[in-house]
Amino acid sequence: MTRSIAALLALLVVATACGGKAEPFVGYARNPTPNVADVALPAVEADGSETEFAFRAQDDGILLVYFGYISCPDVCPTTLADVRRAVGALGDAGERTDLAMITIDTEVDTPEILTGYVRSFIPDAVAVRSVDDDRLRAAADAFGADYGKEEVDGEAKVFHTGSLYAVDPIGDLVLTWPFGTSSDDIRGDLERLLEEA
Amino acid sequence: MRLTTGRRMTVTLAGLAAMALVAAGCGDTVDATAAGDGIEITGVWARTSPAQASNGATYLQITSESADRLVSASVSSDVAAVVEIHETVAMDDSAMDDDEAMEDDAMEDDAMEDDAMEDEHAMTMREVAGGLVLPAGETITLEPGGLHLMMLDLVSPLVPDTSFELELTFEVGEPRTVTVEVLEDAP
Repeated sequence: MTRSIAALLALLVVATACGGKAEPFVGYARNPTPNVADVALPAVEADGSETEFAFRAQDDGILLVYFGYISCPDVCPTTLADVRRAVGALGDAGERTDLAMITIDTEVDTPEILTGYVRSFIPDAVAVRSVDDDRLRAAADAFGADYGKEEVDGEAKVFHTGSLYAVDPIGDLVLTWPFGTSSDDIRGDLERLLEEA
Repeated sequence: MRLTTGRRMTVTLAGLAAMALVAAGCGDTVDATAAGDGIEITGVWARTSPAQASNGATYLQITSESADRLVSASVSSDVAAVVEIHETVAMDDSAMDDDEAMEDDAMEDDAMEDDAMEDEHAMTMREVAGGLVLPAGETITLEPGGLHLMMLDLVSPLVPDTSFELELTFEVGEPRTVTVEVLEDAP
């Protein structure tokens, strides 16, 4: 009898742990969860002033991180417009969501245009720009992102990972949304992450 | 088909047929119901561009009744300097420069699932060489993350609820001018 009660209890514990959150996230979680708490890069203001920015969300919040560049006409504005839509649809909870865009094209993306660009999507977004490529590369590696320029037919082609990342207050990279995830799906995932935060 | 060359009845039927073929090929003497206009263009929009962005993109769908090719696109010089037919593509390993690029791409994260790895491939853009092939009767969709008309050196930012004219040139069909609506998000 005691054994069956114990078994029942164990079942109940499992059911409680799994119950209610049966739906998977649209974005994917990695195993093990990367931690980017030790990653820091310069956040810039339009006047060129810099402060070190650590990749951690505010308390009870989620930090969205995106690697991109301003001359990118298709992928970057698509994702940033989706972020604007998703965060806007969160209502008050949107206040607990921040966005940091890291430029991968520091030659073209000056502090002035980078801040103006990213804040045209999210007004208080963090503009991240590291002219030290070793630091930028290390940060990208921590996120599993890639970027670079290569010469194709005499033309410099920029490439970059188009994913959007969600980081929690302890710096865990909790979700990755591949390019093309709809703003509705990003909003749905964010709602759940913020509920759990 | 109505020919507009002003030839009289003396032209034989065979000659007329031959002329029709030529006219369809050149696309400059056919009327609005003929070959040149068997091209349907819908869902034309461009995303708003932040003031700091020098480039923008226009998206649309094209269906051509007969096989054709979108050769080029242009806008007035007070909108942008150049329009190019582009495609956003995932970098495959062969497109990577060499081992160095691969090394950069390497994840410390062995446990990542294969499909997740796929998603992590970096993206880049390439010009669609030789124009965009339009197979007969097939709708070709230009959309975010895929084919798009890249507008380089925008003269001024693309702002919501405005529009501009875009001219499309085809290999066979008549050139077409369409109105591009500027929107914050896909329609």
